[in-house]
Amino acid sequence: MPEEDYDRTLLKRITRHDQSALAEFYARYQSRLFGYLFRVIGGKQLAEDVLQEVMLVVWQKAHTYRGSAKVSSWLFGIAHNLAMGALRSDRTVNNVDLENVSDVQDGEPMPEDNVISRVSGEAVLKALISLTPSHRAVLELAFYQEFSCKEMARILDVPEGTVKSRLSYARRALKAALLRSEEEII
Amino acid sequence: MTTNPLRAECPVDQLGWYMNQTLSDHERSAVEAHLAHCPWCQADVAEWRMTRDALQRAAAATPQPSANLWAKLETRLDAPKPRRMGALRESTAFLWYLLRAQIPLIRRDLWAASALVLIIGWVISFLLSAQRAMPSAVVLAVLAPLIAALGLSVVYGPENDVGLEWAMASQTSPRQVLLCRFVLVFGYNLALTLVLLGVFKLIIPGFDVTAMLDLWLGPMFFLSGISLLLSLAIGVNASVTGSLVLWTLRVIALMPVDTRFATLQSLSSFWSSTPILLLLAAGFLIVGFMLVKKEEIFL
Repeated sequence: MPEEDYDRTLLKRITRHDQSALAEFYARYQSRLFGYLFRVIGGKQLAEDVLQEVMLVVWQKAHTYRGSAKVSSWLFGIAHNLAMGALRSDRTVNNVDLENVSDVQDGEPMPEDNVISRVSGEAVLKALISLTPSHRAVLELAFYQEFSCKEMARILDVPEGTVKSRLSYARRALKAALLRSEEEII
Repeated sequence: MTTNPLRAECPVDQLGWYMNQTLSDHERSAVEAHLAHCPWCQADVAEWRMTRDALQRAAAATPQPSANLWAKLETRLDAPKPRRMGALRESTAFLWYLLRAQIPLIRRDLWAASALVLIIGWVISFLLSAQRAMPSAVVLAVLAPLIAALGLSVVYGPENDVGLEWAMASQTSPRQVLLCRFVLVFGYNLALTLVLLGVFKLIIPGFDVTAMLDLWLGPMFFLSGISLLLSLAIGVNASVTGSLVLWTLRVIALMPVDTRFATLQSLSSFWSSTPILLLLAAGFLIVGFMLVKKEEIFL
């Protein structure tokens, strides 16, 4: 059975309060969801709390799923909204000064000199956490969760044009953050 | 932002999606055909690839959730739902927050379109009254109810709001969402009309605002209520058609006496009966809200 059809079957069972269906749904999505929440929120404890809230919403509101979007889009839309809500009450993250982003040009990058290509995963994580939540979210949804522009527009509840421009800006912000962290080390 | 003017032909905003492999077959073929001869886009794609690879390295460095997280969640599954806010102050703050949250979810063109049509109506009213061809502000007073009604026909429902599923997965009741949207759209049109009538009052001596209110306020409520009800019960097309038909009857009732429309013009007293129109509007809205269940069920 295709994955999407199986997910919908699980949701139908969850509407009938089938706890084993929710357990299976959790097992299928916990890694992806936690990864997204951790990288957008920037803290393990808070990400775990929000993950629980996401699953509670699925448990209580599975019957509101209409089927017009993929199950994963619906689920990540809930996760995104709850993550943004959690971040509103936790503003301890310093974000990249947007004025610095304009100094990073799109043009002819030299791959061998490009900071993005040579930094470690931990350095990228640190740089990600210094971005604004909306920039983290678009990078995460596009390149790790691999949603299309249309799906992301629904998840984030913004026009497709906004998704495109936000993604482009986010890439530059990430590069600026990585450059800044390299300069600090030097 | 690129500074190269030669990149006007480049599908710059598609390159990131080409890299995450979510373009359609047609779009992907077009991008690949372009990439074959564009060094700028090739470099851009290379940088997108590095960004993707870097993010996947970050993903590999991400910790896993705690092993006992499911066990913690299980204990909460059948816990009673938290009581809704009871304090008036918290409820007020929540409704205010909800009102502001609904603004970006309503069709963006609705605000500008309503304002544009009403301003045009004001200008026509002003020109006609200057020529003494028609009592002041009649055109505006006739247009305002229709614009409000048409706006309300597109505020709710899956065909008008692709984000409705996500809104319904939140703790907010669909009825609260609908109420906020009604308040926003109707309130916007009402405020705009009052402001434009206020301008009339300022520049036209002896302009009778009270008489104008009788002309459009009741019909605006009535038409808005029935438009929203038709939109919820049947759909946008029925709502728009119904609004236009009723509005046409309204206009006929305002015309000089014509024996061909005697029956319809006999209804002019109905359109002037503000209390009756308000009562009917309230009835339509109540039925409409009852149609939107507390929790909509689709599976």
